[in-house]
Amino acid sequence: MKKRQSKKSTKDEKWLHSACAIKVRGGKIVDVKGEDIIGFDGRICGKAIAGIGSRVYGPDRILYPLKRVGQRGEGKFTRCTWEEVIDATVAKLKEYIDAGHPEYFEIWWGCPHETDNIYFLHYWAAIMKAGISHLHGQVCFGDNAVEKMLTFGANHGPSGLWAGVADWPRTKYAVLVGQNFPATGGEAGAGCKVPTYPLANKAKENGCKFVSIDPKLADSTPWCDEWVPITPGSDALFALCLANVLIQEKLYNEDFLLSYTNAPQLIRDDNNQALRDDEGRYLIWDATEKSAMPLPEAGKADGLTLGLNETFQVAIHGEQILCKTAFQKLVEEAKKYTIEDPFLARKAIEVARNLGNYKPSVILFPGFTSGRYSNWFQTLRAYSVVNLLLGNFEQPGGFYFIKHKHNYGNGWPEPPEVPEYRGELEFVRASAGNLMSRKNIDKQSCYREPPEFHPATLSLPWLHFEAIEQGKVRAVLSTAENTAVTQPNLKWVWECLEKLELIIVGEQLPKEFVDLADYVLPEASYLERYHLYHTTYIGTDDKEHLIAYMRSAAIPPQGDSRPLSWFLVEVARKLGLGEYFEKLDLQYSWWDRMLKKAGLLSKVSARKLVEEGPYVEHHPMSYNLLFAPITTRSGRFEIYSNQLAEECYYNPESRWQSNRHVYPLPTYIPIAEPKGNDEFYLLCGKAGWHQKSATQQNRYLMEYAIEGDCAYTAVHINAERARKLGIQDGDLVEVECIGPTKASDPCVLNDAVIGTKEVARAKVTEALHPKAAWVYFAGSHRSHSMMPKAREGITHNWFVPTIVSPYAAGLGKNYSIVKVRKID
Amino acid sequence: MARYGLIIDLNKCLRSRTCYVACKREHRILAHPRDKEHPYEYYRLRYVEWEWGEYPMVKRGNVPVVCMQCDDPICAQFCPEDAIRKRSDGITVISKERCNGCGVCTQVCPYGAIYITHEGKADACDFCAERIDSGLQPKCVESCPADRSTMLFGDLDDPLSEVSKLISSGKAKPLLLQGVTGTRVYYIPSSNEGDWEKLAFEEAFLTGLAKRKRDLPPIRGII
Repeated sequence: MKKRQSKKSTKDEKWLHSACAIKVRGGKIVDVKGEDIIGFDGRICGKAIAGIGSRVYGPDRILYPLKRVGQRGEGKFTRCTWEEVIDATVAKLKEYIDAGHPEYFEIWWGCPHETDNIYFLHYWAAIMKAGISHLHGQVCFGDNAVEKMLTFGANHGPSGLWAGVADWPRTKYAVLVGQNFPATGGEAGAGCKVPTYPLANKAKENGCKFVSIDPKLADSTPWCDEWVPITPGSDALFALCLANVLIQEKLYNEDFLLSYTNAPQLIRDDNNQALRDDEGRYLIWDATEKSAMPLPEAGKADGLTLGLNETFQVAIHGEQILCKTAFQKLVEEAKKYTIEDPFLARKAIEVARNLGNYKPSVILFPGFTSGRYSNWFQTLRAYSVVNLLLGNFEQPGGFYFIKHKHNYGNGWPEPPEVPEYRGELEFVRASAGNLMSRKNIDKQSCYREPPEFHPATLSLPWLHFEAIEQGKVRAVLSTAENTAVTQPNLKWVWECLEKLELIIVGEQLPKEFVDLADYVLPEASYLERYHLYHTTYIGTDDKEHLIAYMRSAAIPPQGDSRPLSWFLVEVARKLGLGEYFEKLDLQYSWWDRMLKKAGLLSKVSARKLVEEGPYVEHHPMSYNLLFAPITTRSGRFEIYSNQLAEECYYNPESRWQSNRHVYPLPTYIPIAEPKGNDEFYLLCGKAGWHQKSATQQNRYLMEYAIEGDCAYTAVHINAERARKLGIQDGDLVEVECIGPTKASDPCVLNDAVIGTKEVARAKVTEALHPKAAWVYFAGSHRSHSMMPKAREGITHNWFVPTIVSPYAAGLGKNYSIVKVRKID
Repeated sequence: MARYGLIIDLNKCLRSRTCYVACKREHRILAHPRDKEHPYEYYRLRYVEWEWGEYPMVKRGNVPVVCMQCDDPICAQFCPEDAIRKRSDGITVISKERCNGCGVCTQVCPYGAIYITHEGKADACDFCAERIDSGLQPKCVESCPADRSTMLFGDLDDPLSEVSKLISSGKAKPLLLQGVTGTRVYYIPSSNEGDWEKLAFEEAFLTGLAKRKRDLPPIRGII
């Protein structure tokens, strides 16, 4: 048996590089594989393979500009010309510019992996003075980014920690929370799950035990060794019970806590605030000197004590102040919690002991995605603190911080290549390192002073919808996102979208937002346009792989589709701003500027990446917690969050003063509960073979045969609960939203979703917590132009209210309470 | 002459469905969810998944099922047109020229591994015979993203091949249903599948397997 043939071009067919390897024969794509680099090894997931037939060459692909006829939402269009849609956009923009409000026009973009040149979009918006928002960001991972920043600092938080980058091959015990692991959970750092798979399997081969904590046995998690069903919304309780066991049984990592965390920091016992000296420095109790001293920088532990069960009397500011350490405060907080469910209580002890005994080669990872319930920010804090107790960072088998990255910048052309920029031209980076709106709408201060402090969120979607209601946003261009499905409280969202004067959607396939559009732009697909990507991930060779790779036009854009950037340049030209865009080469030069900023242009160019494939650097993995300074307020990883304490919880000027959601220690805040016999939490999650509306409009991925026992469009109900309600497998059931309401949870903004009803087939299963009903995320659509099966089932976001948790603005996107009844 | 076999390690399978999709793309098998216009489904590879146990001690077994390349295929015995034969390398192939699309083979196959294409011909996994003849691996094996050893393909007559070693060690096991004496497809079972030796009689598994036959058109023509 010969080995797999290398991807060499022949006379009749050639392999091209477009982030994947694409085989083209006679101008048509006939195969797609992963690149032949470690981590991918020529492999790619089924979604990419299915995308060739059902997206690039899909029978429903939008190939021509479309203009709406009929009502918004009917999905009725007539073909129009690019000229027509350009002129309509120009007319609207000119109207707003002449009125002095170009910001009435907003670009909404979705995922950085999917959007066509987010840097260019920001450049265009800056020149136009239009609005722009990473609208999808907050729904995706917003409050997770904030929590990691807070607990670990800017250098360590976003450095893969939020994505769960870990030294998997040496991990001995791994606990994954609420993820479809490994198919759609966990990361090696690549922004794509594929490099994680061989790492996870290697860990398994090496004897690692994997535990899934989840209300549902998700489709991929039978791969794990054990499933522990958890009551929805009770994760912080579970995590704090883990902390309690680790503390009581002395399974915590004392050296790590003393050296790298603010566990030894002194907290006043009278007001629970940090003790500081006259110079404002945080203090510790020096067990050698028997007095309070400034908290030393991370890495130093001499004389420090965790102060377990101790109180210290410190003479300061002319007073004798009783203090405890942050660690002792955590001990007292964790002791408050017990789990009533005997099975789960037993499991918490078992999991904690395994984590403690196998540390530091352990992983406890609650997932990448953002607020699942209103209490998710404190839940993430709790899980992070448990990890700090374990000290499982930068150790074999623990979390790993990627060290090798280049700074690519944004590729913006500089004068004199373009004219002097019009006024202020900033590229605002969120502190999480992601792109943010440059407008105030996304940077609302939580109080007046200091003005630079604000929630470090990616976007605040509900503010955009309120802005539409107030007439502050009047037209939207949407690309690579589907606000009409992915935002909670869709009833309100659709009402707001209806108010817009103009909706333009760039897409390739039918979906709800297309149905609502006034004009649809046929966007070139990923394999028909140019984009530089870069990432660093861990490979199976125990090295960091820093790669730069190009998506490129393996085939010309199909039909009359074009890259979105082309459209925006045409609009700019007609508005008399062509000088800022005409000389731009968006295929190669833009990306060469970024490669130059990264110091790579002497080694590789965008064209070379297209012709030869990815540029790869290998760097040995190295364990070094202080590869960069820890940029929290204390200079250490924070068990007790000084930022939350000083800016929010104890700050009389903060609107969140004394709000438990911003308590400086992790705490459990119960959420509203289903109470009646027919009431459930309605949860949702991803499937390994589905991601978004594009995969749900994919004929390969929507076949019944692909489902196995994981019925994709059904509502899954626990078997015992179903029996009591007289529901059998396949029965038609009605699902009605009854909560959470403003009255039952103060994080709920409005009750617009209450009373929402949808109908679906039931899937009766033992593999689900009794309090939960469960659907696949976006397992159903309301788009008239999507295929029938894509329109079956329940769309979860119609049942989720607008929830905004304090500070990190978690959206509680999995938080819904419903009644379920059988329909005769 | 090689005698080919396939092993799927169920401990490592991520259930990503990549093999399913790659197979369909490779063999240009019609893709469509069932509806009034398309009442049947078409696939060479299919997941049989079943749940067992009681909450919270629940498992979900998973067996990707393909044509098992039986030593003495029942389908060939029943084919009225003699369209099903074994090659010298042991691969069972269906001749599209000879096949009359009656569908008898689809019903007698204990694994439900044969389907009728939208063009009315019987079809089943043949280990990507054309690719093998060109020195390539089956597409599912080549495409599996889990890792290189989750799906293994090789020569069963080569005692040094990975497939031979796993079979002779007892780690890789066939799935022998009633009436089947030997196959070329093996599995390394995980705890999700329960007692592998009893799987052939496990009701939940057999029910999952039988679902396949509901996706197929009825038998027609001469029996």
